[in-house]
Amino acid sequence: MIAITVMLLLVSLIVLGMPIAFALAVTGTIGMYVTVGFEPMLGVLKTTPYRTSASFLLSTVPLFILMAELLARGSIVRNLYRACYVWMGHVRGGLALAAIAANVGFAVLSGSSTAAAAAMSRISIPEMRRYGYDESFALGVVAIGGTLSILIPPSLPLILYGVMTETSIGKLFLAGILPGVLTVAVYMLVILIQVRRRPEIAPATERHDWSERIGALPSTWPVLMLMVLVLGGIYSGAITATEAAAVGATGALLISIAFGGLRGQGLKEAFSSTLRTTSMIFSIIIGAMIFGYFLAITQMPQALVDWVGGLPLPPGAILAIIVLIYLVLGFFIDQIAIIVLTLPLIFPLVQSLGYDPIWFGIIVTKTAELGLVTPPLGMNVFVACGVSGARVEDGFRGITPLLIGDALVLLVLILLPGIVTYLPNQMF
Amino acid sequence: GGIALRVADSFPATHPYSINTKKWLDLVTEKTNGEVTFSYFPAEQLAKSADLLDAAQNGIADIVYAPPLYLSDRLPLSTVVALPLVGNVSDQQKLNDAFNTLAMTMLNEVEIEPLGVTTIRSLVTAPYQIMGRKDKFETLDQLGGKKLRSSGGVQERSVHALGAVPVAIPAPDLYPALQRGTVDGALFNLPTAAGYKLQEQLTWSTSNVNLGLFPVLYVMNERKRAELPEDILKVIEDSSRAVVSDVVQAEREQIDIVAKALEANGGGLFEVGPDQFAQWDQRLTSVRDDWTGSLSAQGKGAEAVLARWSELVTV
Amino acid sequence: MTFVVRTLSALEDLLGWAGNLCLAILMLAVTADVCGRYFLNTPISGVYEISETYFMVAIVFLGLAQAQQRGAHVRVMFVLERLPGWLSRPMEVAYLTAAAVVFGIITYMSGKTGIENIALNRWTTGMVAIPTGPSWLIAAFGAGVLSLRLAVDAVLTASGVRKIEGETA
Ligand code: NA
Ligand code: NA
Repeated sequence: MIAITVMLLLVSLIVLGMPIAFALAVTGTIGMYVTVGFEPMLGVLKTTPYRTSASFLLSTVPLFILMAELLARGSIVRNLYRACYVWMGHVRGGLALAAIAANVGFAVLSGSSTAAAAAMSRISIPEMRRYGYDESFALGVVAIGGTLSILIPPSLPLILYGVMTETSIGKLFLAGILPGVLTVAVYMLVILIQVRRRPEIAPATERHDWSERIGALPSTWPVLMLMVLVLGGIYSGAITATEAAAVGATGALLISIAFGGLRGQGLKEAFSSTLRTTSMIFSIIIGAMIFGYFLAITQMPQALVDWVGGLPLPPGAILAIIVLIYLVLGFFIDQIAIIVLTLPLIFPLVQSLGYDPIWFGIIVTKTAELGLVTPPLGMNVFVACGVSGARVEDGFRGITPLLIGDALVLLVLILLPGIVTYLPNQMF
Repeated sequence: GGIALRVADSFPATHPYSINTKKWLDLVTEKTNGEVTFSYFPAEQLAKSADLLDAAQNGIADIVYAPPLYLSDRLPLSTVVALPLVGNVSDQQKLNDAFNTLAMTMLNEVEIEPLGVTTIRSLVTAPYQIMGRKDKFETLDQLGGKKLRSSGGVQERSVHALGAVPVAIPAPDLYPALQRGTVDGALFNLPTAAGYKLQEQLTWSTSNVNLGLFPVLYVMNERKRAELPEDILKVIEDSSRAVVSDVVQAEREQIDIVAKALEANGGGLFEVGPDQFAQWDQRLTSVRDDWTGSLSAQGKGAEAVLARWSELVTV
Repeated sequence: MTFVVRTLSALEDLLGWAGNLCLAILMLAVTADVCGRYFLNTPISGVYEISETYFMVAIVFLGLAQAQQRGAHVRVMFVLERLPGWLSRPMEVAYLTAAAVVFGIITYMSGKTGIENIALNRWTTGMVAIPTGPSWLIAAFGAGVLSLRLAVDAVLTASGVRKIEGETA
């Protein structure tokens, strides 16, 4: 009962315009006070902000943002987009397609969707604005594109799932590939349908001839060099997925100074802006953690799961309810917290129903992807809007068509589990 | 009414330790005829590993898992069991019994009770071994310059003392790091390696070296403890010791899983020979001396703790 | 009040510079560690622990006040901006005050922990030993300046000097 009341309070405060980070922290604090008392509440406020920040794993967030800032302040990104435009400008929505493609590149580097959304929105939203793209369309593309980072390996949620359920992480990584490809195809399809139905969101452009196309290529080599450096570094084993962010930022610093014309003021702005964005994102993560601890202590998620397990229904129906629960929890709770809270109870249930653990890992990750962009707690939408100074309501509006596409992908993966299990079954 | 307690740790709910902890709690409820009941929050649901001790101190939970190796600033003396090649006991049950004795007496007295909590249960993992991605590390020469993942603290010093290069990598990054060859191996214990599925990316592992144990303490808020009747406390502590044999058995099974997987990869578990052992021990002396030296410099009676621990694990 | 606002802005700038410096050092230290490990087989000991304990804490906490000052926090304006000023202004003041209280508590608790850790001489036991107390004080300092900023913003909003974001100035 307390859980429901506090959740309603959270939603009301968010809708009524309280900054989201503060709404989470304040309602979580109130919830803690009501459920366990004053001193435990103080305890949560003491440890949560500090420990959430003091994490090497999360250093990817500021460092990938810094990489994006450095690239975007000089001429590097502008040149890259200019080349994209020259090559794909005649395709309506070409820059949106390019943003999805760039997100695939990022997903192969990083396992964190927050870092991906922050870095890619810094790079692509200003450029899409420059070419006259509709604001909420651009936000939607970038926010949902960032979720690819957790489905395409490496992926933090998949590693966590593997550790918690004792399934092979290698198989989970392989299993993520085809659903990742399918998701990318669907995003691109949705973008193409949208621009066909509403041409004004991605202005019509011109076709450039081959001499112009070839001429635009040389200006892209610094960023290609950076990609080769970081990707090559990761796949040769020189650097870990976490360290890639630091190496990428250092590389971006060097090439932006050498080839992008980045100088004193731009450099200072890149760092300052990164600092503010990082604090903004961590404020939300910290708020979400405090709120998550409160929900954990009420044992509401567990009660929900226990209730489902006891329902006298056929396996298919139980599975449908489980997926729905994941989607509903995804409205409110951080995705990692959901996996931690529910998996211990859900996983044995799913196994007893006879479903494949690898397949279920991908289904859970896919629902986590959806949760990252659904209101009221849609981390990727917040990040995309915060980074680009856009309105959250525009972000959620722009995400809707892509979200429908994503939900269809989830349905397909449930109905055709072969898409998930084909690759892992081939390789082992 | 009865006594209801909140118990929190950080092990995934499928981890042998959290299964064992659940068993412990159920046993207490059973033996007290339902007088004592628990709500159990595994997997960092209430706090991160390094904050669980705080969670007990300020009443978010009543009983928590306190990992000395993640709290080395607050529980430095309890990291004594992470020191390499102390004593000669290799039986996992006996190592657990020895650590329980140390934790419930000396450690409680010198550094745990002053924090406002008391140890009521303890476990130690299987000894840390050296695992190779491709290499079979049988000699110091083979270890020279090889990159081994270690999780900081005493372990990092041990890897360094053996002539290898310690590399710090967050646990979730370790699997891909082994996959791509970022590190040549890892200092890890076999059952935990199974939890992280590392056997998929490993070929060889030592089986007879004790490069330290990972200590696990469950501590209880002192005020809460003072409220409980003596007989109930005794049930809680005795039940914990009673379920340890189960976790030892579960770890043995996990070691088997790793052994079989390594054999399937063309390697396996192997023993380091006695002559090498002597050389390793000589190198590792400095690690033990540094540990006592630096803690004693801070005015903490480290010699006495190490002496007592050696005594408990030497037959 | 003008004096308070000016001093606070100066303090925020100072914190911002310190945060930028930590960000730069984090980037270079991790890169140097990677290069040392890969090319010379000698990683830099302690980078992981110091990054976690100091640089990350500094980057997150030292930027908090600036993020608030520049209106970087994400919020849904759809309803608030349609409400009349006599309704939306008290709401904004309440939001700022509630957040100031929560971050005030965070400041107090972190500060207390930092002082305690320093008094008890608490260090980690790795190859590079690190004191933990000062890093809690960085957190306390950053959270403290943020709660001050929130309180000042609340006063300025109540007195009509500060406009709610999105409200036409
Ligand atoms: Na990824
Ligand atoms: Na959501």
